[in-house]
Amino acid sequence: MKTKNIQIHKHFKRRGIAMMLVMVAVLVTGGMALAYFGSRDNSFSISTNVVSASQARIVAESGLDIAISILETNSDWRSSHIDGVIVENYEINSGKITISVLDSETSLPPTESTNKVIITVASSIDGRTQLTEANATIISDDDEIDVDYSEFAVFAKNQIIMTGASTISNWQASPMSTQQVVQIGTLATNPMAVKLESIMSSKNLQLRTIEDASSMISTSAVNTKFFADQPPFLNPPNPPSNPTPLSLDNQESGNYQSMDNWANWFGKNHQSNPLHFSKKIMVDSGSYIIDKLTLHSSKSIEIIGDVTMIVEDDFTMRYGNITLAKDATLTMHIGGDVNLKSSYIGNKNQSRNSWIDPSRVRIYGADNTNWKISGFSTLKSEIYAPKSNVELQGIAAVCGRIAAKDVLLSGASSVLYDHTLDQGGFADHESPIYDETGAISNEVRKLTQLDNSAIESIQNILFDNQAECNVIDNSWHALNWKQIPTERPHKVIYTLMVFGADARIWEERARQLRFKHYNTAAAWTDNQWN
Amino acid sequence: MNRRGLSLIEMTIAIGITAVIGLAIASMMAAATNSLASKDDGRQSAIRLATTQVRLGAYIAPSNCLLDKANEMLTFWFNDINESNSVNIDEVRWIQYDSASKTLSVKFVNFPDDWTPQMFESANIECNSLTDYSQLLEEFELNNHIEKITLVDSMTNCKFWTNNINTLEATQVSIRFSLESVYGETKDAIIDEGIRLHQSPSD
Repeated sequence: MKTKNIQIHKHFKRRGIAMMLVMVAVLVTGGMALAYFGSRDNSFSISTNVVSASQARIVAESGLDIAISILETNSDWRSSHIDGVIVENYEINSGKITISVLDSETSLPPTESTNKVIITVASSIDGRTQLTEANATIISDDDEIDVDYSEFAVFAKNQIIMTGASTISNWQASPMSTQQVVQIGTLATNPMAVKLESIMSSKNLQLRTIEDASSMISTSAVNTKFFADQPPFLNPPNPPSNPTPLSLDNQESGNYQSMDNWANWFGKNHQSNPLHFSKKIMVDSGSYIIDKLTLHSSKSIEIIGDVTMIVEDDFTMRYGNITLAKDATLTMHIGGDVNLKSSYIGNKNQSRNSWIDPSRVRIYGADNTNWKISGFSTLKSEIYAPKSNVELQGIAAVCGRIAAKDVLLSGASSVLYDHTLDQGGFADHESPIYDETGAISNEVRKLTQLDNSAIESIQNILFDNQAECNVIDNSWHALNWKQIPTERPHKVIYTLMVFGADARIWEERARQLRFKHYNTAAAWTDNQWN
Repeated sequence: MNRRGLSLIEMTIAIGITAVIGLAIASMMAAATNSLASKDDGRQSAIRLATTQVRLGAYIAPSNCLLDKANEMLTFWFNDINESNSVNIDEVRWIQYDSASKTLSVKFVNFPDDWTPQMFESANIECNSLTDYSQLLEEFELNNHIEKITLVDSMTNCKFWTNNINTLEATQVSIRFSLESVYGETKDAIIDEGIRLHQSPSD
């Protein structure tokens, strides 16, 4: 009986183990399979990455707006930075941005003189980083008074005459070409002092005269405004003392034009013998004096650095050119007549579509002289000759502005005004030039010429007065800061270079690949992307 | 009676159960693998879509303006490196869909490195409102002065839209496309990218 019981027990135990083993094996295998499939499913991580990258791009774009806003204000970003970083790890919508600026001309961190910068905004969200890069030009609204009529495309003491198909308009190459209205002005009071008889439209012109001027001052219907007071037309500044005599023969570098500027010979406008030996004169920083300056097609001048040139007598150019190297400036004081035929003064790119700040080339006329700019001449400059008659003929163009006694535009000549020159000046009734009664301040009245030191001391007086007034205003602002936005006196013009990913790097790699396998079919693979 | 070992019935039942469970596991594994491959394919397509957006955005967003639009090509004024407010040929980018190779590529002018600045300047022509950019591309391709980067491959179709009939005024570009995948074509995707700082050439 005992033996039977034992046998029955053993039989029952063996059956249970088989089933248990199968079940355990199934569970373990199933669990492993699920774990394996689970580990392979990275959809969530991928979609998180994609979302983070998109968010980071948008945050970087917002960071660029912040950077532009900073440049527009009076903040001391030029000095308060660490290796160009002006904002670091600033939190914005669950991301962090770092803004850095570099001087685009030196590729170094900005200094007090920096006005062109490369802005780089790096934004990161959950480890995903995106870049946005922009080139920006800051047009400072400095505390300067403007008394040289640079707010006017054309300003004439006595008369402005436009005939033929001549035009006064915006210079489209200027970074501020979006401005529409172009100002012209005169101190004349007699009827018909402003003759706008060109067949070209003058609807964007605005004429500014003194209040006593005749109601018939212009021959055509033009939007007219008045000065708040009768402004003075100051004499040009004195030329520097102790200039070095300039000899065009001694400094010739003797380049063959065929080597240096061969493309010009095939230009439609070149009329000289292409085999002619050409000489380029390099003029370094300094003050120079010359009796007469005559440049023909065989000679050209390149300005390197800050140059002041005093021409005691006439200045004549026929098919000549004066070009400025990068960052160079030229100030000319002309004592005699000016006759420029099919000539050029400006940056190296002679196209009228190529911009240069016209204030880098200032030409002053001192005496009662006649200026004639004809042919296909182009001057990218400011002309200030209060006692001279300036005449533009042919298809000549002044890209900048003219202030003279009489200004005559004929043929298809043009004055292309650059709004970067506009600092308010006499046309701005809010300018500190005017006192609280609207009259020109006594300090400005005492000026007789564009003397920089005198103007600076007047500026200090006027802006100190204004600052005192602002203290009272600021106390009110302090109470209402939430309603009063930060002042943004400076204009910033910028262009986007990189958004998210830098296409320029891809293109550079493609170029290198082509160079490496020159004349072979170079394949672009996915390895080149990053 | 000797009760060691298993009876035929027991063995048959055990093998039967094991076979049923094995079949169930095998079919489950097959279904899971299939689903995994399908998911992988979907993920790859999603990544390619995101990459396409980034690559197109890198060209469209910083561009100054759209110069021309054809059925299978967009022409952009990518930047103004000459600061001339006018379009020079080295500032132009053509984004072109090639239905034969099923690729979307960007093309740009690349002059030989051994050219002098004068040669470069004369070849780097200035375009205007009358310029035929498609013809220009063909001419430069004939002279072997065009570089090409493939942005996306295995693209089965691609169509372009803009938010303005006048291409120079367009500020928004839409690209509708589908991609080839292991399990066939993806559904149509649309990328909508804006020209952030629109600027037309001066003429």
